[in-house]
Amino acid sequence: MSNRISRRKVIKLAALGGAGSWLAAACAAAPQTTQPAQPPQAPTSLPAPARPAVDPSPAAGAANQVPPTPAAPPSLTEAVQADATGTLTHKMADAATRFLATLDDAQRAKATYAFDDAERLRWHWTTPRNFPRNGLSLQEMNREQKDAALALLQSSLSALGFQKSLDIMSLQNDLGNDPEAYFVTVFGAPGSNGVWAWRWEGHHLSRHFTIRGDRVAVTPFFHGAWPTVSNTGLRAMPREEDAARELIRSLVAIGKTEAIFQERSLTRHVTWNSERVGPLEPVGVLVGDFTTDQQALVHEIIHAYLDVLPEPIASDHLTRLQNAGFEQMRFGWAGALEPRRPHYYRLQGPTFLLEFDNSRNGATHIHSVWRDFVQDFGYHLI
Amino acid sequence: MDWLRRHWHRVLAHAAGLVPIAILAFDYAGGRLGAIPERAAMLRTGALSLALLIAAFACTPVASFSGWRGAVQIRRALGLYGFAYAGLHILIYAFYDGQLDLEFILRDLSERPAMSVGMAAFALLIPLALTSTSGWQRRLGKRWRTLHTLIYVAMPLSALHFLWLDRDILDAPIAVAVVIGLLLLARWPPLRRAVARLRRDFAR
Ligand code: HEM
Repeated sequence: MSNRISRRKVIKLAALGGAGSWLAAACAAAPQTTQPAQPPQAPTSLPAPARPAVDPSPAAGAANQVPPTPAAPPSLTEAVQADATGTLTHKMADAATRFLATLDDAQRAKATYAFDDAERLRWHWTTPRNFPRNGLSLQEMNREQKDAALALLQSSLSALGFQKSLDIMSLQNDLGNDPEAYFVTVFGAPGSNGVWAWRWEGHHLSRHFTIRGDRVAVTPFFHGAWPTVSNTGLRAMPREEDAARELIRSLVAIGKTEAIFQERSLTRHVTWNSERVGPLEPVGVLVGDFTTDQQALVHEIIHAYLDVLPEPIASDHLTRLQNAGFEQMRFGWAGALEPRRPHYYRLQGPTFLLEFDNSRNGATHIHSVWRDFVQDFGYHLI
Repeated sequence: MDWLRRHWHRVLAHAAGLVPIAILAFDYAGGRLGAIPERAAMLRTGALSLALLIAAFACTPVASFSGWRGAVQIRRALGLYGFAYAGLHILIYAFYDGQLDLEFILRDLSERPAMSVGMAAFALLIPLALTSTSGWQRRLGKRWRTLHTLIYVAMPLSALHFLWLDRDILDAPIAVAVVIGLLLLARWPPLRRAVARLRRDFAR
């Protein structure tokens, strides 16, 4: 995988070399293929979304009826779940230890912080140029180190989550950014009895993992995509956008217009890069009042976010979310219902908040964040 | 044939201004501008605008260093094409990025320094484009030259616009800034005098 990133980077740098070739590049037709990259199927036993994970059609309309997704919590028992998370945390700790072992002293000093360092809570999704990151970037790593860093990321996500991360990173090629400007930072000692954490962060991708023993916190996590469709046809966040649009359209179709809490879109997500968040002002309508098909779409939105997590963690989140009250969640929309027109949506339950903003650059620029009122940055583990 | 030998540089200047817009229209019509054609067109017109403005800005130093008067004869055409592409660039921005929403555009201009310096550069180019004709040149006399020194501000602002776009890889913006810096330096009177002296000595 590191190969793929490096090759793209080299092509981009070559294309940018010198003002003459830059002008030539400006005149050349943008390459275009229509095949979106298909993320690998996640090895998950979660209730699967009733629709394909990737729907390349932005106009996939509300007319498409969605068969209901089972709303029941996953069937894993607590014990099996604890065991699965235990294996997972061991894998993560091993991968982190292996990554740190590939670094020289100076690199290790850059990549590591004490667990209680304030750096752990300093986060952002913007480019490293706008918000300089601390940690070690892929740019500063050799091949072996990059592979170890990617293995650490892979160990901490599902196959789908890993692919989505690479997709988001590869979109940087379309923006004139470096797809290797992603930073790895480890806090505390991986695998120790105490608590430790690690972070993968760069433009549009911010992932935080806090681990204590067999328990893992994975929030906040931020996914962004600009452009929403790359020149090669890649859509990094297709269902996050389309499923929500299908939902709001179907709500409007049955007269639930109060789901639109504002005619104009917001211009940014509300919680920005806050360290801790609580519930926002309730907007929109209660999921408990939705039809079965509409609830299935809510499930699909949730899955679009949670399926990026390793299976036991995704199950755990889903269970918490169900236990806290699926019907208590609220879905609210601001802005236009058409694709490529600015919009924003918010899905909020008793324990979590999902914000999705696509109002910049002609609605081809997504920012989305999943916050957990209790588990963000592993506060409950400390 | 003789006409072409005398006017090749004018033909080249007009080709530089017109061929890219024809290619752009052709690519747009043929759906070859990628998944988000507006963005591709905005980037392309921005790049073309800057390239043509730099070419126009280079005419005076090229003429004074090389003695070739042809460079001055194509300066206006290159500058006007550069201005036209900037206008198109901003129009696409207003439609695509700004969704023709004035409130949003104004907020974007105030929030993103790259956008405000771009707008300042464009605003400075407007009087230059309007007074670029020979008629205005005669009418304004000495003041024309003073007015057209605004280009010394507009060019660095354009470079800043490119530099401040939200990007990590700065090779192209830095290359552009260096070229604009060198073209500004080439207008520095002591340097110009030294080059003129060299050229005289060389001619003797
Ligand atoms: C003289 C005036 C201007 C010049 C010469 C200029 C030039 C450029 C150049 C060279 C680029 C980068 C193109 C590329 O990457 O290939 C660009 C991008 C851009 N410009 Fe301008 N520009 C000007 C004014 C403006 C103004 C007034 C605005 C809006 C208020 C604007 C908005 C943008 C935007 C949004 C981008 C694209 C950013 C992105 O998507 O990466 N420009 N411009």
